[in-house]
Amino acid sequence: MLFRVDPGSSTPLGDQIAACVRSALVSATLKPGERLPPARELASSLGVNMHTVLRAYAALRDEGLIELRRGRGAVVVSTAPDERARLADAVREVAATARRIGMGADEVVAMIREAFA
Amino acid sequence: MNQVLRWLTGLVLLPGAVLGTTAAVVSGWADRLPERIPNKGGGDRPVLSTLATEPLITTGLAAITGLWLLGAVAFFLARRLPAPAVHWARTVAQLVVAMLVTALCGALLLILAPALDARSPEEVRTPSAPFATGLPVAVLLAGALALALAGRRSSGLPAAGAPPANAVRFPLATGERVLWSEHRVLRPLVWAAAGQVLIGAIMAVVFGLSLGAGYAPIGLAVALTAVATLAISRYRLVVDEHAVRVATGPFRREFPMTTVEYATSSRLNAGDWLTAGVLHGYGTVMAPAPGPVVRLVFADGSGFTAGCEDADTLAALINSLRHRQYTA
Repeated sequence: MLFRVDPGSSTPLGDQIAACVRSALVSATLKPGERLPPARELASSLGVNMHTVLRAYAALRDEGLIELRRGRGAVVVSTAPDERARLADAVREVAATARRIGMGADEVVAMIREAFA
Repeated sequence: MNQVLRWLTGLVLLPGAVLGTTAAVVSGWADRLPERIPNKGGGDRPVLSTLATEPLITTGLAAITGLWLLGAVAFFLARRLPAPAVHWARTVAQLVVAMLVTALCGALLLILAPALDARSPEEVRTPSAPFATGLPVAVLLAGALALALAGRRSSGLPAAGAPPANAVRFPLATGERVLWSEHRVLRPLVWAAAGQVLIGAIMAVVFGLSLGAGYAPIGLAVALTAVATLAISRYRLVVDEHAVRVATGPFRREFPMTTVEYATSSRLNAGDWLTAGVLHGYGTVMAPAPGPVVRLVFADGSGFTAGCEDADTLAALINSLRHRQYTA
């Protein structure tokens, strides 16, 4: 699978790494049982901090997409991002857009509350 | 430790030490061995035929020395191979020499040890089970040491020039960093390893029941070979802006990106895959199965082929990385 990160983008590097994995899952490039590259290797190749990679892996684990096992690294457990993961992506996109147009978090939350009402 | 010292240790010192120790031990045993030892039968069974001990030792040690020298000749002849294949061929020569010398020396000691202090072939005992089981472990350890001593190859390839303008490229943003990572478990080899364990277990039971408990470890030795099969059941391909790295189990190749002129994608059919090593040189192809492959072309005209699930994308990515590196 292909990992791409753009340090010039406003999206945090960790989110970009997680997005690469989600995209590979959606396109079936990654299948359950396959391993993701070790965090150290990914960090060194992409020139990012290892904690950034670990944060991305932790987010994917929380979404139920991968499992982090001691000694075995990150293993894919789900075929495609679930609804919650899709929502997390959408929220990230909303946050990035809000930042770009200068909207604060409170304003965005208020808009979401309004949409819920 | 520099590479020359590594080769000397792996090809000369390691087999030399094993052979020297065996020769010393066997000559120390000379007075304690009978003139003839069983060829067929022996142990708990009647002796059907025998062979002379002294010629066996002389021929055995001479054959092992001959194999060692043959390995050394193969090692030196490897310099005639294309540059990317030299280290690979030398590693194989060193590995084969270390494992064969250890196996044959161990086998000689395994045959002679039960005959110690026996006055006739009938008194020769069955080889001890711990020794018989320990031999394959020693052979594997010698192989692992030879591999470790061979180390990784420094590419030795010249820096590549400008990539051709017509090479297919992948769209990359300025400053964008990429990593291609592919990891495959070769299921047929995993199944083969499971088969080896099963065959070994059956052999241990059959030999144990029909020939005696002393022969059961032979089956266990067969089961142990599954470790080697399992070791080569994993394939990895990693490409970033620094290098192309390919590995099948412990066999690894690394090509700095600066040495890659350009990359192309193609398909390796079953026939080409089976004969690739013979036709294009050993160590120039590492594809776990027939299918899409990426061919790297170096500045000296040599090449290397690696298996890849999405060869078109990867070849374009390598060309883009090379182009960006060259124009930077």
